[in-house]
Amino acid sequence: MWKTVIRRLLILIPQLFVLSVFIFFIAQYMPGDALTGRIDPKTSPKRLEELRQMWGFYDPWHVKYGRWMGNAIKGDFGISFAYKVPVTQVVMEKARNTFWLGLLTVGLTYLLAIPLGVLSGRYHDKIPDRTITLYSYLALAMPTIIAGLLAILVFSFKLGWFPYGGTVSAEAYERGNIYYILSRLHHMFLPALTGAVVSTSAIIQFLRSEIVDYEQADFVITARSKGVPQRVIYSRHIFRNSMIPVASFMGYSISGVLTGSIFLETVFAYPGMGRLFIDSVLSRDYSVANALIIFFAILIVLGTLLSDIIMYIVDPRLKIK
Amino acid sequence: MTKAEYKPKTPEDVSRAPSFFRVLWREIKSDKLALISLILLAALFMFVYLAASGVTGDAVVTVSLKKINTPPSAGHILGTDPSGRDMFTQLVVGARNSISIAIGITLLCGLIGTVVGLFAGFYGGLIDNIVMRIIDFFSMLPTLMLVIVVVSVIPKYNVFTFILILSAFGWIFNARLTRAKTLQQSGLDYVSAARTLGTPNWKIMFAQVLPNIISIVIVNLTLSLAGNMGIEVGLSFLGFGLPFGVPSLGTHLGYARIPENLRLRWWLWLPAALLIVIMMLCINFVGQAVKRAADAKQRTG
Repeated sequence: MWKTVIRRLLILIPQLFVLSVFIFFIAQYMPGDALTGRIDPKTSPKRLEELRQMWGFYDPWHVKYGRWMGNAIKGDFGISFAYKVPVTQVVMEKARNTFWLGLLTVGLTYLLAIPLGVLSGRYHDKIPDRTITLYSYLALAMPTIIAGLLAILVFSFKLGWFPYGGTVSAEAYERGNIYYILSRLHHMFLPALTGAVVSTSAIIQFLRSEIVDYEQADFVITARSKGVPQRVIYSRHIFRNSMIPVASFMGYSISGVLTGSIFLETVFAYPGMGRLFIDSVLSRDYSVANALIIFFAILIVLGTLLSDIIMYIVDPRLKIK
Repeated sequence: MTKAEYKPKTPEDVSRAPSFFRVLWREIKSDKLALISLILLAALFMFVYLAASGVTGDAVVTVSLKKINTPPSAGHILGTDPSGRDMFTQLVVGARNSISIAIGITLLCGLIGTVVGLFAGFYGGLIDNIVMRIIDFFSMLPTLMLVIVVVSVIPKYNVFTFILILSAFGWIFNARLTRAKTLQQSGLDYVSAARTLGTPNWKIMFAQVLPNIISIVIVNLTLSLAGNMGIEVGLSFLGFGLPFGVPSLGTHLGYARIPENLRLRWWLWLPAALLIVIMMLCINFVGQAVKRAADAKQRTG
């Protein structure tokens, strides 16, 4: 298996290379250049020209690309125009927020989806299943944005249960420690729940159909004919087997959460990477936008790889390629 | 489901399999939810395209400065927007744009994906290898981010370019599916037989393999219609959708980015939100019926 993992990671290199050339060219069409962020706006045009010469603004594209890539490998993506600090610093700061929100979202997704999926499969075509299926259709049809807007309207504005926007309240920030953590959770809960609700339906329907399929499997029929109680058949024989593929959804959730974060964080005014990306594109801060695209691409590939590794660990019969 | 009367079958009946569309119709008829969804969608599309076809640019730019952000009333059944325009006409034009874009992307992705998939799956070897590497490359991209960047860089674009940009990233899934199915089919006897008879390759691909896999392609396209509508809505909401001033359901949702509008002026965004959810639900229900019709094991009708 490790050979496969290493091969997959090696394939990542040419893929990232093509991607980086692609976004480098797009970035060339964006107005402004890397100097805009670095210098004092009062600098005279003559001095500006000199600085441009010095930093290689007029170099041919392959020289520029080489320099950009060389620095990027060392983790230096340049200076953000909007924040006037190194891009890496800006991204890392927001990455922490996205990480915690994403973790909570994935946690809540599984917390909701597994019991619902199991119930739906266990009592298929009965009332619990009908209700859950209706819910999962609604969740599937509901874009994150709309779910988020409705959640904010009802739970933040009308009921006032959850704060809107930000990551922590100023008061809790001063009181520190436990209050800080609680306030963070309080701020994250509504976006995380929204993200979780809209992404449950795939897992629910998958789990349901797995369980329904296993009811007819030979080993279940054998167990039943031996007189194993129904409850044990479900808990020991069926659930365990049907949980295997669900485990592999975990890695795919990473790319789901990342893509979803763009909408989720914008709707909830949550300062994470998704929101940073939108802001940086709007403010033409392309060094930040480029760094985020590369970062997301790496994370998506690693997420897919993680899925395959989890699959292999929980079910060694499968061969990954 | 009522049981059909028994009728003795003539040899013609037996030898001819019912066409996909006949099976599909039977499937939809047996599923009340899908039938209602289909009627609702048809009514909505007809209203937006035919009955309301008189509602065009003129009505959209009719501005009344006295009526900015007014709540629904007899004159404006859905109120007016921050520029004093009637929200109902905006909603109709917006829905028409959103639906057209979603259908456009779906058809274009279907066309590209199917042709690429057929070629890769049928010829195999080097062509297949190259196509698969391209597909692998595209599928690891953070597509949404790239679309946003491309849209923000292109200085001038219209509905058609917007469809092209989204399709450029969207054909992958269909291509992968078509390729897998074609690969399966090209190993079967009827393809070998056609080859032996000297049937030209394009004819085998488009006249023999394609009809055998078209039902799966249709299923995929129906289900992706909802997704494509969601992408357009999402991009317009973020401000990277259609050019400024062209209404779509997403730009209506965009009003809700301002907390005052979200909290106090429901008529600006809620009708669009409900319309989107209803359309997506209907498309999904019809899509499920199409999916069952394409798979003999799941059919209910």
